[in-house]
Amino acid sequence: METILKVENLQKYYGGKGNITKAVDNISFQVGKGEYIGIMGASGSGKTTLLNCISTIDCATAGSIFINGIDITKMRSGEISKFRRDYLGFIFQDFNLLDTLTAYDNIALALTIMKVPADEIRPRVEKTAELLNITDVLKKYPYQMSGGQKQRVASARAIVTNPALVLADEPTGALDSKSAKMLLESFDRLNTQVSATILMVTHDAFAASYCKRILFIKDGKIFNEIIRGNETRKMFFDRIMEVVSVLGGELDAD
Amino acid sequence: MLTKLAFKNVGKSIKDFTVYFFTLAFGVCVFYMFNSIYAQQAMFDMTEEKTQSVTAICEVLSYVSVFVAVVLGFLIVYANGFFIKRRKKELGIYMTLGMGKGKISFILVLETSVIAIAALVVGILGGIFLSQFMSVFTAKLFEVDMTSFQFVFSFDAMLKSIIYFGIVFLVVILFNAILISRFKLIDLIYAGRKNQNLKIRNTKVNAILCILSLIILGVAYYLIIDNGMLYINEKFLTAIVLGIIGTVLFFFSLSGLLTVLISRSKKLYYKNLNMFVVRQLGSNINTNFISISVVSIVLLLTIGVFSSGYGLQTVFNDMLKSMASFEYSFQSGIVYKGDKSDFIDTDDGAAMYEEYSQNDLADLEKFISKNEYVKDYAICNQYYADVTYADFGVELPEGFEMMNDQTVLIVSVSDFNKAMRLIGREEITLDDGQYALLSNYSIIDSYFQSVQNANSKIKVGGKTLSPVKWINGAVTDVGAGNIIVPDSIIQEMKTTRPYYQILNLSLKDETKEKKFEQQVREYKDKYSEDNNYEKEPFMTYYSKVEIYNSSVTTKALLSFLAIYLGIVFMVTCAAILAIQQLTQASENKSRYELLAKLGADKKMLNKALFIQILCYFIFPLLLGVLHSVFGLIAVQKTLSEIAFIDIGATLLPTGLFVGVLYTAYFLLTYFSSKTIIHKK
Repeated sequence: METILKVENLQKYYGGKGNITKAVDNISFQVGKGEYIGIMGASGSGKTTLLNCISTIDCATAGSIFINGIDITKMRSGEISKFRRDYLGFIFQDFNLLDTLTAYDNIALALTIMKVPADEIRPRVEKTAELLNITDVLKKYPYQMSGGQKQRVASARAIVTNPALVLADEPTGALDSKSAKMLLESFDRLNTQVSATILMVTHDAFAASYCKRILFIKDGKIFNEIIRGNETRKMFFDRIMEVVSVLGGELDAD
Repeated sequence: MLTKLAFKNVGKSIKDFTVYFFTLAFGVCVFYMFNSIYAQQAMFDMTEEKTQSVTAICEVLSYVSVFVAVVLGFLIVYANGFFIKRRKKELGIYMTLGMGKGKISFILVLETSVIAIAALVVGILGGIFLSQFMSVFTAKLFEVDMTSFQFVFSFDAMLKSIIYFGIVFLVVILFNAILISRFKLIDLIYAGRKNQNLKIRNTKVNAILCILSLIILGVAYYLIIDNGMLYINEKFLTAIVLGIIGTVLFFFSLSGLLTVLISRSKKLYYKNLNMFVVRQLGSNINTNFISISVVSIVLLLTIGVFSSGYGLQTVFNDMLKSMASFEYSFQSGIVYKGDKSDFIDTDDGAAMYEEYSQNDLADLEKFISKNEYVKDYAICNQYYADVTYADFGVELPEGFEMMNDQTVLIVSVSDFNKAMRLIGREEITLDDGQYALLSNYSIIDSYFQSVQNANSKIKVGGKTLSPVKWINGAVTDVGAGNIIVPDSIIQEMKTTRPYYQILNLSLKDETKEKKFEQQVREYKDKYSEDNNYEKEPFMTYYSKVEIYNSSVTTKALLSFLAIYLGIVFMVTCAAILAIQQLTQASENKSRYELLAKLGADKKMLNKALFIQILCYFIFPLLLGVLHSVFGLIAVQKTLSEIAFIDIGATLLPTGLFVGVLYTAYFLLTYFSSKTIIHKK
């Protein structure tokens, strides 16, 4: 299996002399192509910092992050935005759609930033919209949509560029359980049908149960790793809950 | 603690709102400069008349300053409201911490005072500095020499600036207190989270409205050009009202048209961040369409005031100077005959001639002929022969029909030649049956030329005369048109008593003008002391020096008004746009951050921001300029009948003035917004 993401001895420290917080403390792991991996941890465990480092929004103190074989920690700032544009897709907790644009334009925006030719835009947007079941809301503005629809539009925006890696930060955080379920099923489809590589940060065990592999993080270190294998989602959920209770059951404190 | 909070807040917000502070200080600075003109004359070598005219101008400017203070006051209150809105969340936090509304008001009072004092100090210092340079300009305007350069400081102007702006800031403080007392905690805390009501209207309806607005504007332009600026009638008011409606409707619907037009071209719309910029700009314009319309109309005022002020001062200057051909020109006038004291219609030339007598210039002639300063003099009689403008049989230009009943006075060719000899101009000869036309007032000039072209015959003294030539000139310093006829005609007229008598003279030495003037006054006063007007030797007199002075006063006043009001209007417009864009920038920070996360690089973001702010500044300017073009065409059309204004020549200084100030504000806004957006 081709490796998409390789994190090696990643460290991220905050603070100065005598007052150092190790937000990420020597973490190493790999994500292969087409994987659907979840990262769980209590608030303050360092999972968001880890995500920020991988997504080039924050820079690491030490260690390396390879995406598609390129070390992003050694990139110059000029290259970083180009890299983000070409290799990464983002899904945020609060959707972050532009409220002045229609759903269609929101999705198309990711392509125009990539300088995709105008006539290629329509087929790509429509194909992605179909995959995420949002064809009928394409002409609507964000304020006319439900939370679940908004998040699916945001997901469409993230994957329409065919990124090497989709990074989702608590994507179900602002959704009701029904919408969350629909979204997670969409992710599942993306993963299986177009083999999108997804890295999802969450503290919700239900959301995590859709993943194929889960890393648990505590105090900046990897605490545990579980793999779904051939288990049903229900069985996997039970296993996640076990780890969560061992971790201290603080996951929902976020 | 509260003080510390206030100072910290000011420091924080000044960085974001450099433009606001700059505008405040600049407003104070301009205010000080124009109120310090009176003090500037200290370094000029000025005649008494000029001192008087400076005083008169300063008085006008001091009234205008009240208006200016009100305009700037509006700007400050408006900007302040904007800032308070932006800080709702912060104020909400203070309230949840248990701070009373009184204490919050106190913080805001402190903040406003700090900014006000800083702006006043910077503004007045700037004003004092710049008024040193301004005095050079003032000296040039008044055509006086600067005796010596000395430091000018006007205590009055400073005091006035402090009082006027003090009042404005007090109003702001009051305004804040009212705003705060109305705040509800829940609104404050959720201010950040509450989505702004996005006004997204049907783009197609908008596009149609936009076209409609252009049609309305077209009608307004047609009406104003057709009607001209002279008559404030129904047509004029309709044009103004339609112009305002058209402008508001235009900005109300502009975003729709823009979106429809640009999204039609997929290549353009789906290129880089264009789509984002179009929508962003559209929503900005939609939210603020009223204030943008106001800005656009005020820009029209600015351009109008500046260019017509500039144009008029040149015209007045040239006109007055060309009129004053004689160094002194005394004129006889109507005096009451006996006990006649009811006022009669002076337009009725015949009645006036019958009922009233004129001054007799004989005594004046005695005084002049003996005077040591006079080189030469000539008396010129103007006769009444019942000829009116209507008698020429040539139609007067539109708007001057009322001149039809006006009398045209007759001058004999020998009197005319005497006057011309005095100022060294060409003399003429007339044969029997000929007459010449004389004028030096543009509207009559062109009329007389067409009279001559039409070869209109007139009847004077029972004889029919035909025109031979038109002469540009006059037999007095201030006069309209005359007819010159052969001497023989005068004798044949019904009455040979002159209607007016004019005595023109030239001086031996122009530098002795002041002394001669003194003697003329003493001579005149001798008669007016005992209120015996019938015995007064003349009614009025004009001197070249006096006319020059008044032309200088007019010119200076027009220039000062144009620059003063021009700057204030301009700064107000630009500042409103700037403040709106800066507020948007801080609200839009998250949007730009999102774009950055999506992979848009810094160059792309800056370009989007640049286009957005540029368009926001340019649209009201474009419409304002379009308005001005038609407005100025109407002005020129109106004024060309009275005097020729070269609007073309006023374009360069106006364009420079508007361009420089506007560009300065645009760049300041762009760079401040860029800082806000990229700030981590």
